[in-house]
Amino acid sequence: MALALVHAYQSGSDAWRTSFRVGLTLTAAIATYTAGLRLFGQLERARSRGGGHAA
Amino acid sequence: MLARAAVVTRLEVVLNLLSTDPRVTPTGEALTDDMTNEAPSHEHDAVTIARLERLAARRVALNAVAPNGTVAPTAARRKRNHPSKKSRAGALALSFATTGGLTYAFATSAAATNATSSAVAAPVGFVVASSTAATATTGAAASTGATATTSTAAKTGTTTVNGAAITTKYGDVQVQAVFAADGSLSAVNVLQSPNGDNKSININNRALPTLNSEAVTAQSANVHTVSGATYTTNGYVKSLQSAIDAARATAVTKLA
Repeated sequence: MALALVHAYQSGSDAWRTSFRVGLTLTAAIATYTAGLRLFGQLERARSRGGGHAA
Repeated sequence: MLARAAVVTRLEVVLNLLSTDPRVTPTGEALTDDMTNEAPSHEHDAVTIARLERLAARRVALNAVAPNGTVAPTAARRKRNHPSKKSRAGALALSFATTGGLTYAFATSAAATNATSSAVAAPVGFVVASSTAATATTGAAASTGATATTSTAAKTGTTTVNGAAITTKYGDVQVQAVFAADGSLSAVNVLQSPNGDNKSININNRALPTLNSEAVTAQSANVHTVSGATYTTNGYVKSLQSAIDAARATAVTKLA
């Protein structure tokens, strides 16, 4: 959904509307949070596994 | 007495049935698996007992308490994979950074747009002679002719008339008509055009020069619609027509 909104912004359709920009910002924030949660979780698990082998 | 003897007999039969192996027929014949169509009951018991033992062992492991009173971090607990506080904090920071970046980008682009508009709205090179300032936001009001700002260049003899600002779906359109001393339309300048997004800017960069040349050639606001720039064309025509009407009203031109 975030990518679709970014594509719409690049296309220019209604991109000047404040509501569109606010929606894009909020959607990007939510998408980034979930992606970051997964990314940091995997990094942490990988780090803990690596530490176990080293010990 | 007879009834009592019958009851006792029946009770004895029931007790015999309960006390005997259910896998034995009342006649004493052993039941086979084919006859019962079931697995032997002791296998059921073994599976159930094994399962109960596993559950009990798991519960003991989960509730294992260290000597200092803390719950030991067992393997079963570690397998849940809930996001840790560090992960949540990192993701939250990433989210805030994205939000801040987008907000800054939008604010910057809006400021640039406003700066561009204000710079364009102040034409250079003409001396203001008189002004009947007004703006219209609808086509109907624009066509009334009471919505123009007139300026006259003292040295060149040209007169510039600002048309009404026409609001379209994508932004305002306002043009400035330049009339020669003989009253002919010598040029058209665009004061405002939709520029809130890259698509509008690209469309107007292509359409506005065409509209300007067509208007000068036609000596009127009756120009063809540029394909792909319908809203801009409509706003352009209405703004230019309001400028021509205002110029005609002040005897600057005789164009209609």
